[in-house]
Formats: sequence, structure tokens, C-alpha cells
Amino acid sequence: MFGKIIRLLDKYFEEVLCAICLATMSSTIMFQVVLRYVFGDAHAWVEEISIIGMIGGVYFGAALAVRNKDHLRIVFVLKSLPKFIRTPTIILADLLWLGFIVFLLVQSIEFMKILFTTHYILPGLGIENRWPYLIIPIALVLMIIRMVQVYVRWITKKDKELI
Amino acid sequence: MNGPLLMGIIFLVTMAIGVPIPFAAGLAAIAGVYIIDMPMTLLAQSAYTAFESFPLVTIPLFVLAGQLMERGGMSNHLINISKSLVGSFRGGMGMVTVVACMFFAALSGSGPATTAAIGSITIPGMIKEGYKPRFAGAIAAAGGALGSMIPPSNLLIIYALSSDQSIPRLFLAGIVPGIFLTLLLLLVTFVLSVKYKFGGSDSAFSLGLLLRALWAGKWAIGAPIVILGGIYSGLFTPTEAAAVAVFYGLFVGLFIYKELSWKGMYESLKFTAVVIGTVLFILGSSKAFGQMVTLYDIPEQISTIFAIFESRTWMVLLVIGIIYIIAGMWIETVPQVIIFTAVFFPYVQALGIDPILFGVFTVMTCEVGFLTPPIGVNLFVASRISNTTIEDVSVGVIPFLLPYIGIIILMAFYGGWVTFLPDLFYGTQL
Amino acid sequence: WAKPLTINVGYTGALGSPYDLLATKFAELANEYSNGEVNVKVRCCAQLATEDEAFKAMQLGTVDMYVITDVNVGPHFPLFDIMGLPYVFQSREHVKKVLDGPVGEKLAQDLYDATGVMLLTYGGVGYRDFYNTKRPINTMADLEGIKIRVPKNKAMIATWQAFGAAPIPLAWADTPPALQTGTVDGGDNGTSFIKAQKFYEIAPYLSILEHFAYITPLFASDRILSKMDDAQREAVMRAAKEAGEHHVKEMERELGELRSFLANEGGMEVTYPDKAEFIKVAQQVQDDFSADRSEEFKKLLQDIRDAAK
Ligand code: NA
Ligand code: NA
Repeated sequence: MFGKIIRLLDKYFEEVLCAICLATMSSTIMFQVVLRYVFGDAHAWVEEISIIGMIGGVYFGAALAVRNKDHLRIVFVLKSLPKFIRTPTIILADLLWLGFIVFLLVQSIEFMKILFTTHYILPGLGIENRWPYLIIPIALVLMIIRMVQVYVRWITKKDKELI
Repeated sequence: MNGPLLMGIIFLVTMAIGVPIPFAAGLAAIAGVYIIDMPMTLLAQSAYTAFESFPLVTIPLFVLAGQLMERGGMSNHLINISKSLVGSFRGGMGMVTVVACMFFAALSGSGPATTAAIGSITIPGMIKEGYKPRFAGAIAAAGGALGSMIPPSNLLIIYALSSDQSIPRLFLAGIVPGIFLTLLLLLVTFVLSVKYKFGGSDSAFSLGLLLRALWAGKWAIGAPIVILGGIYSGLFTPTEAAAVAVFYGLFVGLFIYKELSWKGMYESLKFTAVVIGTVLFILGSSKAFGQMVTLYDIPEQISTIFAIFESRTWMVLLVIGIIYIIAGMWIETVPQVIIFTAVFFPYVQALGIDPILFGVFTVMTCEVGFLTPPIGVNLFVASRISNTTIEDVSVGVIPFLLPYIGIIILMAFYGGWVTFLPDLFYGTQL
Repeated sequence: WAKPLTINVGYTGALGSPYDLLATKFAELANEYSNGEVNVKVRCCAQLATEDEAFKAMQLGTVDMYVITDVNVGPHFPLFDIMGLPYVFQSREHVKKVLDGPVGEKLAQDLYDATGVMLLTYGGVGYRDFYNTKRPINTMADLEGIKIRVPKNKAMIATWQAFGAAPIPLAWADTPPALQTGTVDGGDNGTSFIKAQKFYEIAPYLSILEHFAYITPLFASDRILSKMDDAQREAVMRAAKEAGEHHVKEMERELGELRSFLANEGGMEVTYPDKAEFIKVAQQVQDDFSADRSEEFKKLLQDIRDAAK
């Protein structure tokens, strides 16, 4: 049972979050068009919701791309290296990349602290900006988890290649 | 320690050893922020604020619309129509892509969104017809850049707001160069297709076949009609049009062609998420990168070389063009227009260069940045959709840069052909 | 002796805009009064940050100083929303009395206490002038059914509704094409922006309503202020104060020039509707708007109204 939940989360977690974000984004903008013509009305929160949806799509999509090894990288240098140098180079690159994510996570938490001591009310939605901002640290944590997962799969030989 | 130099080295080295491009840019930005002694929370702030631009949402929406149209059967109909129209010609589908980009550019203000919308439909079609994937991707990337030249254009708007010029005038001025660029891109596509024998294997042109394809694909043709018509009649704004495209794709796929399944919808959303998660993601770090370019006064330092050319305007424009193309390799296009316009515009104005001409010139040169590695968003989108590496698409796109360079040179020597349309319409500038 | 200090002061408008006027004058005076020890670099055109981001960035210390329009301060410090209410300032004398007096002083202090961002000077006042493509506007009845582009701002939407027009919230980027296609019939913007964007080429009618006044104060981060020694801070404060006074005068002079340009060279038909009926409706909007706001908000609104008497 527990194993099954983990497997489902592993397969679908970011995907479903992304799907929800993107579906919300499209629907709210469509809703705005309809609102204006059917009810002669428009709302400021449409823009805010759709931007939040996009940010969710981008960041959870980025976490998804870590799992699927989809991030855009230059590979021709790596490919020209002999295998015994290539693998350590990839590991070094991944460590640097992981280091950046951890660093950004630490900075995001610092930033969150400031958001929690100051105010920024989204004019349309009337909520504090700190809540949508939570997407960033959450997605960064997901990225770290996915990065670790990539290595676990490689070490346990479930995946042959690191990139 | 020289900040910009260190940033450049870190960016290049980390990228070369395989750090994904957005993260390499982020690592370089950390070094820049450290040396200039700014709080590092700057990076956390730009990771969010870089996306707080409403027109940006057109990019995911058009990627999604393209996916829904492909999985819902609309794209096949569009491809059938274009096949029966130009399938008998060498490079027919490639040229259809360019023309479709031109029409789409008249709807969308964004280069990457144009590549995404048209490329999602025609790149798979071209690959099926035997085009090399890198070539197919390159056509869509190069054609997509039209999105920023033919009005509406986000880049022209940004230039207008930075230089206090009229948006409607700039939009009018973008039309002729945009069409001219389209023609030259068509020429390159045709020549290369003849050389490499892409396309043209279908049977000869037949009016009957075309009419049948048109009839079968009437709902597919409805998409551009609804979107174009909607914008030009004032029914909805260009940004809203992207959402309308999504729902039109959904509607036709679910209820007319009935080829769209729940799974297809889910896959479309997932694909869109991966595209924006890898492509748009870079805006988060490139924004901090751009701010460093400002704080280190890089444009200011570059502008000292203008003094050498004194009042020879064509030389100044050519030098600016070269600077913009080189800068465009490294800086994302939107911040590039903001940062450089702010510094260069006063010099250009003092030389008496027409500010409208300079706007079109700026957008044309900065647009090349969409197509040059390492940071070229159109290339990223095209490589995602054609499933090839960035290196591959970057090589494929080289011949398509020639039309851009040709027009840039032409504008530097004589700009009257750009400004005559707005002057005709609104009278010469007061 | 402190080290010579570099300050980056940013704004969102173009070179030559009212923001530029304030920032550039400040830079010049700060340099002069500090004997070159404070080097102010002016960054136009949202190079440093956009106006939406700049306030938060000053709280973080990632932006030193920034010129921000009042409406964009509101989300961070709700009392500033008052500036966005229609006819909150009824005349030029009224503005002066409020901002130069104890009300303005207390507001700046409250802002600093709540956010850690210092208001250096309020600067001059500008007005959003109203243009449209349909007809000359002389009375409120003429506004009936006119579709007006507004930023996504509740007070502005409510105001235009109260005036009997049809406000349509639209992103700025979508506005010029929307005007040409008729999605909207008009809008209101700062007078210099109307000229710069050549709206006179699209919209033939200009109405001087002065329904929305706006101010563009200069703000500074605590981080940059704490980097200064006493002499430097004194020079900066003096420079800001005088730059503000200069700005007030210049804005007033420029406004006259701009409007006459729009009427003559621009060929716009200019009308001066009687403000009385608009002010009356606007005060209702003010009341509605402050009903669910804090006690401080209501008190500030009352103080401002009292100053008009
Ligand atoms: Na366009
Ligand atoms: Na580039």
C-alpha cells in the first residue's frame, strides 16, 4: 500500500501539479473573455491567477525535467571526452548544479522570511504575495529530491546513463 | 576582480562541462552579485519576478494550443491542406512554415511563442516528409523571430516605453521589414530544400485534391480565422487570443474531429510543462544576469567606442548592430532591449537618426539573439519540439541568419524604406 | 571619513519623463552637496527593476533608490492607496498643504516604520488626462457607454463605473492595438505620456478632468542609508528635498506646455468639464472604498479632506 502511494507520487506528482497550473491559467484567461462579453465585466485577479499558474507550470515543469533529464545542456564537449573522464565531469557538473539549487533554496527561504515580515497584497486577489511565492522553495526542494533520485537509480543500475 | 570577466568565464566553463544552461547562467550571476556586493536574495527575488509579465503567458498557451491541435487531429488537416497546396514543390512544407509564422506573427507579439505555436504543428510534419530535424527546427526558429518584427510586437513595445516613442508608429514601421524578411526566409528555405532535396515527393498539384483537403479541414482553417478575426475586430486582445486558441483546439478535438482523449489532453499539458520548465525557466536566472550587466555599466563602457565614428551614422548603426548581435548571444532578448536602449538611445538621437528607424533596427538586431547560442529561446523551443540538441539546431539555423544580416545592413545605409509607412499614415513626426 | 559612495537610483519611465526630471536633479544636487563624495548613477527605463518590484527590492536592499508612482506603493503599504482615489486632491494648493504639512510628514514616518523604506521627497504632482476616440466630454452624461482602458486597479475601475463609463481593465501592452481596433474607446494617462505615445494621432478628444492626481516620490532603502556617514546623509537629504521642490515647479510648468501642445500641434479638441458633479460622485467612491479599510486609513482620508477646507 505505502509502496504503491510512493510509486504513484513518483510518477505523477509534478505532472499533476503542472497540469492543474496550466489548466487554471488557460481557463481563467478564457473566463475573462467570456466575462467581458457575456457580463460586460472584467476582473483584475485574472491576470494574477494566470501568472501564478504559469510560474507553477514553469517551476514544477523544471522539477519534472530534472527527473526526465530534459534540461537544456551542451553535450558535445562531454561526448568528445573519453568515458573515464566523462563520468566524473558529469558528476562535477551535477554537483555544481545541485549546489546552485541548494543556494537558491537558502536565498528563497531568506526571501520568504522577509515576505512574512512585510506586506505585499496582490491588488486583484487581495492575498499576500508570500503564498504564491511558496511555489519556488517547494519546487526547489522537489528538484533536489529528483536529483538525488537520478543518482540512486544510476548507482543501483536502474539507469545506465547519467544524462 | 573583474566582475563581468569572471561571470563570463564561469558561464562558459560550467556550460561546457554540462551544467544545464539556466543553471550555468545562475552560477555566473552569483559571482556577479558577490563581487558588486549586493544581497544574494536578489537571485531569489528575480526567480519569481522574472515571470510577472502577463504577455509572457502567451508562450505556454500557444505551446498548449499547438499540442491540443496536434493530438486532436487539427494539425493533420492543416498539413494535408498545405501539402495539397505546395506539396509538389521542393521545400513546400518549409515555406508553409515560414508563411504561417508570418501570419501568426501578426497575432502574437512574441518570437518564442510564434516558434512554439507554428513549430508544434509543422516541425513533426516536416520530419515526416523527410526533412532533417535540425533543418525543420531551424526553419521554425527563424520564422518564429518574425513574431517580434511584424506587429504586434512585445519588443517594439519595450523599446517604445524605454525611448518614449509611439507604439502605433513603431508597429507600422515593422510591417515592411517583416514582410521583406519573410520573403528572404522563403528564398533561403527554397534554395536549401532544392540543395538537400527536402520535400516535393508528392504528386503534382491538383485543384480537386486541394478543395477536398480544404473542405475536410474547414474546422482547422477556422483556428487562424477565429484568432486573427477576433483580434482585428477587437473581440479580444492578443494575449486573450492565446487562451481562445487553446479552447478552440480543445473544442474541435473533442467535439468535431473527436480524436482528443483524456490521455491526449493530459499529455499535452505535460509536454507544455516540460517545454516551459526547461525553456522559460532560464528567464529566472537571466534576469539577475541582466541586472548585473546594468550595474557593471557594460553598455556605458561599450558606447565609448562610438566616439571613433563621429557622425557617420551608417557606421555607428553597423557597429551597434554588431554589438547587439554579440550581446544577444549571451543576454536574453527582452532585458537586452531594455538595457541597451536606455544607454544607446541618447547617442543615436544626438546623431539625428530617426528614433522609429532605430526601434525597428534594434528589434531586428536583438531578434538575432533568439537564434544564437548559448542563450537563444527560439532555438530552445525548436530543439525541444524537433527533439534534437541545441548544438544541432544552432548549426541548422546559420543560413537563416543571412536574411537578418542583409536587412540590418540595408537599414544602416538607408532607413527611408522603413519609416515611409508610418510617416505616410500619421504624417512626419512632430 | 566614509568612503565615496555610489548610489544607483532607478525609475521606470523613459529619459525625459517626469521621473527622470526628479532623479536627475537629485543626482546633480547630491553630487554637489557632498562635494563629489556621493556618486549617484541614474538608471532609466526599468533597467534595475520594474516599479512593481522596486519597493520590495528596496526592502531587501537590492535596489538603492527608486522613483515609484503612488499606486505601486499601495500593495506594500496600504495607506498609500488613498492617493489613488478620485479627487483625493481637489486643487494644487490642497496637494501642497497636505504633502508639505504634518499629514505628509506623518505618512512618510509611518511608511518608514512599517516597511523600512524611506520616503525622501514626494516630488511634484501630475494628472491623468482623459482621451477618447468617440466624442468631446463636457458633462458626466457624455461618458455614458464609453469603453475606457484602465489598469487593473480597483479604485480606478470603481471611479469610472461611478462616472457612468465602461471601464475595461487591460494590460498596458495590449492598449494601443485595443484603441485602434475599438476594443476600448479611450483611457487616461499622464499628460507627458499621452504626448510621447502620440495618442493624439489616434484619439481626437482630450478632457481635462484632473480626476486622478499622482505623485512620484523618491524612496531609499535602509541598506543604502546605513552606508552613509552623517555628512553624506545630510547632503542626500538636502538634495532630495530641493530636487522635490524643483520637481513641483517643473511639473506645473510642463503640464501647461504639454496641454497646449496637444491642443495645437496635436490637434486634439480639449474640453474642460465642470468638476463639481464629478467631485461629488468621487467622494462617494472614496467613502465606499474606505468603508472596509483600517482606522488609520479613514483618519488619513479625513485629515486630507480637512486640509481642503
Ligand atoms: Na508579432
Ligand atoms: Na542568443
